[in-house]
Amino acid sequence: MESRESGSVLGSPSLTNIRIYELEDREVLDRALESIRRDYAANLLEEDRNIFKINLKDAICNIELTVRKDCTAISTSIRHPCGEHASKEWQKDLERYRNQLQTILSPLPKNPISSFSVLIGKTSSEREALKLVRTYSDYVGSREVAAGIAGNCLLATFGKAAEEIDPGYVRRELLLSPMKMPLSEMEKTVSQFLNDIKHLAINQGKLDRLQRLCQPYFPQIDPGETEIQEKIENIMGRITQTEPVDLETLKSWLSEVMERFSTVSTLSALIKRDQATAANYIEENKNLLSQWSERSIEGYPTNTIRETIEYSDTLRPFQNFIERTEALRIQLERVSDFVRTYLGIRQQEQSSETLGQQVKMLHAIEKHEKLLKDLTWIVALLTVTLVLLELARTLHILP
Amino acid sequence: MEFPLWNEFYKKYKNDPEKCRRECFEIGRRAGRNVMARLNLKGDDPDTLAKVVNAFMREVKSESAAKVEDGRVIFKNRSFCPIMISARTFNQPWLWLDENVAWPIVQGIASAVNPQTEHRVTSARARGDLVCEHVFDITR
Repeated sequence: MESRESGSVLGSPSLTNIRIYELEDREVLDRALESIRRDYAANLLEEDRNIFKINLKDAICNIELTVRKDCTAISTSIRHPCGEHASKEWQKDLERYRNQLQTILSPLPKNPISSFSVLIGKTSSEREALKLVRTYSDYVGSREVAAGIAGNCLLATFGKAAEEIDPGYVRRELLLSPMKMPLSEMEKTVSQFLNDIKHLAINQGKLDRLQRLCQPYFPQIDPGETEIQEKIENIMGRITQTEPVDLETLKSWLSEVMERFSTVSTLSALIKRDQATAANYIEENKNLLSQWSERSIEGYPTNTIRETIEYSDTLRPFQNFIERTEALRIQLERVSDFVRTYLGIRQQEQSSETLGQQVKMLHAIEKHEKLLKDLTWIVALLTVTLVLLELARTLHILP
Repeated sequence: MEFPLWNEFYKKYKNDPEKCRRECFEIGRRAGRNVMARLNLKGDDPDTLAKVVNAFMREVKSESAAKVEDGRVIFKNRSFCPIMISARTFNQPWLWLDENVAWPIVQGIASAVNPQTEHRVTSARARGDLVCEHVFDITR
């Protein structure tokens, strides 16, 4: 590999920053852009509401807004006013560009979903481009993790610096070096690449945000599963005992099982939805990367291969969660069927018990009615006898 | 007892979580008083607090496992709860809903039983822990 050295000339160096924001931040974003317009009103050249240029003393800055249905991209590029400028001290230029960009973009919200920074510089050969990659790696303090040739450009990705704290969004440091190109062709090629990188940044940002939202859910499958298993065990243990379970307890069990069934089904469906969304972002990026037909250089993994490897593990936790919640859902469905059947049997048993008691009561009533009838007859006979006796005594038939 | 939808809080107070916490605390206090009246509970001791928390949790279809341990009420939840479902349904951050909606409601409920209750969340699943644990200390 080439030794790391600096000091070479870089053609037309420029620095581009692409930040992606979610749609819900649109109002805040509009206010921030308005503030930038105000701050640089004297040097502003507005092409339309979404594209404007700021003329700085020694640099020119382009800001472009891309509004999509669910996010907004702000691409800011800064370069020397002369397009063909060859920089002998490009690190110094870059330092200045970074500071200028930082000042210009300071009103922007600090919560993008992704932020990609791309150094662009023309080189005359692959060898020179590779040298630039290594020098830039030293400059940004992080190693190159991928590099490849696409469309006569070298594109390199740099890893996270060792001391970098997670900013809460995707950050990427890239280098794009068009080789042996006239300015007009270079501008066209760079513009196409930046457009692709913007789309990659959009999908990466959305994917990262989705992963951050879903991440706390994945470990919850363990305690959630335990809680449900304990509940099921408790129910099944009581049902299989010889002593019958009362109807109220059965009804409350059924309601608890159904509540858990509904929760687990909903969660499973939600994570399935998220998995499909994540797969869609990945697929879009893979398709875009495949169009580059990138080839490797000097044993580096290409940007396409590196991204593909990163994506390969992304969907696994979603899948694991879905499979386990599905298994729980099926189990809860069976337990609810079981409790429902048992409840039905107990209700029937209880109604037959009630019927038996009612029949017994009817028999008892019948018995009492018969006794009452017999008693009435006896009383009636006695009364008639007494009347006859009294009559006979009155008629002096009897003494 | 009727509750506003959890996701409405995020929509309304995304940029003013402090206001959200205040409103949810009040909702919790009303809910606590409501539960006490319905169950005819009049105490302000840990046992009453545990009963009220459990009754409320049953109403919102969550695990009701508040217990009195060493004079304090400890409530652990490891079941899939309504807040986590709502957060995923509406693509909202679970931790935000916990910190600014669920926990202030629980705090409000405790305050309905005894205003001198200190409430701490010692572990939270939205932060990656395996259980949510709420500890209530009645100081007077």
